[in-house]
Amino acid sequence: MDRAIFLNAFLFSPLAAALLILIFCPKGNPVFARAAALVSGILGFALSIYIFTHYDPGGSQFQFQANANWLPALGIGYHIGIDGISAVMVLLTGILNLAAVLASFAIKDRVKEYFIFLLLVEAGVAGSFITLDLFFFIVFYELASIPMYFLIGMWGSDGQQASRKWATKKEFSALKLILYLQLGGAFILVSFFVLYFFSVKAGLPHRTFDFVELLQAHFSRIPELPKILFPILFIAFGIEAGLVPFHTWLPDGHSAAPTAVSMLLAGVLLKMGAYGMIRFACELLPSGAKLWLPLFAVIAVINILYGAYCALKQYDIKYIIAYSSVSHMGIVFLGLATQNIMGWTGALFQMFSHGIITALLFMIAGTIYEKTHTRNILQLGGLAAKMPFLAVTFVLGGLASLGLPGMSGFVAEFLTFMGTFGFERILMVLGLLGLILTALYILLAVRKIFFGADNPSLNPEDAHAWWEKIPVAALIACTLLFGILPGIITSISQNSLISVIHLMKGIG
Amino acid sequence: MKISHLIIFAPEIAVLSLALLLLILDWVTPKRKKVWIGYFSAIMILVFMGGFLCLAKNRFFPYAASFHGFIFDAFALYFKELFLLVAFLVTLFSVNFFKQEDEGQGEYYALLLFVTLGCFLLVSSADLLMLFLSFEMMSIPLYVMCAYAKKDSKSSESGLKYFLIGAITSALLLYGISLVYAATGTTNLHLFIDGLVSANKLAYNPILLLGVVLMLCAFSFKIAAVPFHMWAPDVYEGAPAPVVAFLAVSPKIAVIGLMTRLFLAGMQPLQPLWVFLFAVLAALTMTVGNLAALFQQNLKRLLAYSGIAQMGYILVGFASIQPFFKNMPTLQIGYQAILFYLAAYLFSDLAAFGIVTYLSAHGIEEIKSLKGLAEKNPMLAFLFLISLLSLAGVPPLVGFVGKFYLFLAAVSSKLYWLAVLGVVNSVISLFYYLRVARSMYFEKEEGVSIPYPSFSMQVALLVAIFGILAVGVYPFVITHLSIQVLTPLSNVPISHAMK
Repeated sequence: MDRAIFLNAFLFSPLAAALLILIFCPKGNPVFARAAALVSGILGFALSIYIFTHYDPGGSQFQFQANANWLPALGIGYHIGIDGISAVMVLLTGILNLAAVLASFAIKDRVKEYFIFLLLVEAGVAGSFITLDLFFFIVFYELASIPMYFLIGMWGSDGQQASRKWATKKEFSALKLILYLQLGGAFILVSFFVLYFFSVKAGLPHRTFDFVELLQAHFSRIPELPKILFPILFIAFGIEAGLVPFHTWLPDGHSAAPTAVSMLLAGVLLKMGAYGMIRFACELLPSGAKLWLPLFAVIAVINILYGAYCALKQYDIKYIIAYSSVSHMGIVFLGLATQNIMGWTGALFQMFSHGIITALLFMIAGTIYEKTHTRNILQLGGLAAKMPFLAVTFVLGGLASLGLPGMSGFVAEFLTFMGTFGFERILMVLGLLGLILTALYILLAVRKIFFGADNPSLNPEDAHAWWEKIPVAALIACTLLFGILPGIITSISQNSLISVIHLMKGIG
Repeated sequence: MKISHLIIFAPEIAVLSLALLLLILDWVTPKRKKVWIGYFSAIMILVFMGGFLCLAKNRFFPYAASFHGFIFDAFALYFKELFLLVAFLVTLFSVNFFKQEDEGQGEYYALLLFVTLGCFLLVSSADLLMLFLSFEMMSIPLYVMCAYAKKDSKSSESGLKYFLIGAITSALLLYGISLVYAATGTTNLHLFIDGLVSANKLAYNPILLLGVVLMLCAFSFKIAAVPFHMWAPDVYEGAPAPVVAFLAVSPKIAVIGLMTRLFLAGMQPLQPLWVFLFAVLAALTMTVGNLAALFQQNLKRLLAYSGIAQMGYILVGFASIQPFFKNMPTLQIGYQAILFYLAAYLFSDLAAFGIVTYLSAHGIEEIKSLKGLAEKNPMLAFLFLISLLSLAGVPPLVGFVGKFYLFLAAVSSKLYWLAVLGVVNSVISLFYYLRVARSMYFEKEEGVSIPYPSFSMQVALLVAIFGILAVGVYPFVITHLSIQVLTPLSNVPISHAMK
């Protein structure tokens, strides 16, 4: 179908912009790089809205498909397409890519290289959500993670823990992030190889990396395979999604990264992990999922509680937000573990909502750092009077994050815990404890930063350029929009989620 | 034998005559004009590459032919093209590396071609004696090349070390060959397999096993597989940079090519034995190479250990060869992976060594002194980054597809532990490749900017980088070729023999 061109354009617009910047941008002249990135960001945003609105939830399973041979001898093809789950992720990517480009205008140093790396990450993220080929998923996964090393190492900032002695260096954080992500990628790769070689035994005519064909295979016919492979694949994706105890790269990496990169990391990169769990682990190995997900429910609750507890203990604003991500990704895992439609809708909604809210919070934290040159809440205080715009938006973002009704975070948490109620009540009660902790650390942070004792040595100016205000306001508008009208998301994803759940229950 | 049969020796004859011509030219060229010998040699190599390619498509050229111990087939031609490519790139690297007053430049290019000739013969040999002779033919000029910077004591040390190790290697190889001969009664590869298949009990003959193991030790020395790798970092550090580039690629490719032929055609019946050896060798080589590379400060030593690790990955391909059944339908993926990875290694390693050669001519040999290269010469830093990332196996570069292929082969043989070890090793390797990148990009240092490379170096680097990108994005160019080249080889014995 010709509609695939929109999906192709969505993937290739950042790549094309990166290539243009590499070739044509003169050294020391940032205007061209910014303009090219902005154009690709706006284009991607418009395309993502078009794709999302033109996705037909009642139509065929995968839409906007394109399929071209690439290495037919090995059963690898360039196959793209979206279902209801990836449609939501495409929308999220479109929104955050544009917001990240706008947030990057504050970068003054080596602008050309910065935008090349940033656009490569954007393309990698976009690609991994739309690809239907396991080989290309790995390619996009790497494309999204390798440039992160340079973005953090070259434009990042050191951590600001209470004691300077314990502060993490940005080079260290960058390396830690890349090694963790690569280790996850390595295990994903080997797991995909195993799926490839067992695809014939599972009833396919030939070996293939094509996801749609693999979906027709019955891996549950091979007795031990799903049991062994599912936890490996789930944990490998869990490394990227911040699954405890493999989450330690997450706070360091997110905090050291420059603002726009933190937004992308927390907003979409973590979601790539969760998306991989749904798409590859649960959908290809449903019998393994049925067996193992109850165990991962326990880890999910640990994620929620431990992340929230750690967030409570941090002094660096970005560390607080990063640990809140660990906690909130726990809600996604918990939703997945329920294996019912309520929980799964909640999980997907949480992926979307958390992407928007965390990006918003990181953006504000970045602005605070830029204006005051510190992120340590011990040194901040009384900023509400000096920076009213930031104070209002941070409070709104914080409220969305702790799940205030009317905002998107509430819908996600409500659905997830409803789903958990039908699954295991004790876990629901424990998970809800995490929400109380969330309220505690968010409100404490707001109090200390904006309403605490004034620190006279800080003299930030409350001047914001338009490109600083627009994305913040737009992201808040998004949380409100999807909080009030959650049906926009759920109606799109409903059928696809149900089909995966039916797979796990052994129906259809 | 008719005179027209000489055509199967065309590549060897061409390279040999060019080498002799260069020696004569060196004699008549004035000292200031010696650079032109290099350019002439490079152009002629390019012509040969094109010529062999045309010949390969021509019916006049026999597709596969053998003459006693010498085989000419598509498999050998594939490798010969690779060797010519290496010789072409290294010649271009060398042109501006040696200063005008340095002695013996003409001979240098001739020596390079003699090594290439040795490599040619090695991948064409079908007889163990022929194998030994070409092995020596390949090694001896390399000893001279390693010691080429006569005034530099490190270079002489490097040459001597390489020579001593090379002598031990030859001794091992010769002893191994003699034991294999004693056990099977033949030195011919094709008769060899018949002997092995008909007398199944031979497979567990201790004399034969010892012979095979000794031969494998000799090969391991040449490709610097652990535990026979100790010489590599020292030799690489001392030898002139372009020689290192050559040393790290051509002989290794030749030995791997020979091993592929030997084990695919001749020693398949011994598969259970050598697959186990290769698995252990691969695991050790990858792990030790990568771990040792973590602690290196010198660029050449770093690339030496990285090269060791790369050979470890290739050995994974050998380890994943499955037992030989009579009616094996398809060509095994392990062999394809090996052939593909050799091309990947050629492009990535030569690009990296090209840049190291250039930096070394400007006095930069330590990772520390790379500081701020991204500011001083952004293009050079970017190309270096691409080549290192390709060695590390990052998509969409060729190194990624190569590793993908190899680990796929390992999983196909149910060697899960080896595949997992391989991917974990790739993660470890990223650590030291990124350390170089970090030095180039993260650390700033004011200093003199480094000028852009000369024309010859630019051409060579562009060819290598183009290979990294193009084969990475369109791998079927090589995969298709490797299948074509390997298929006739797996139908042993070769039917068409000339007497």
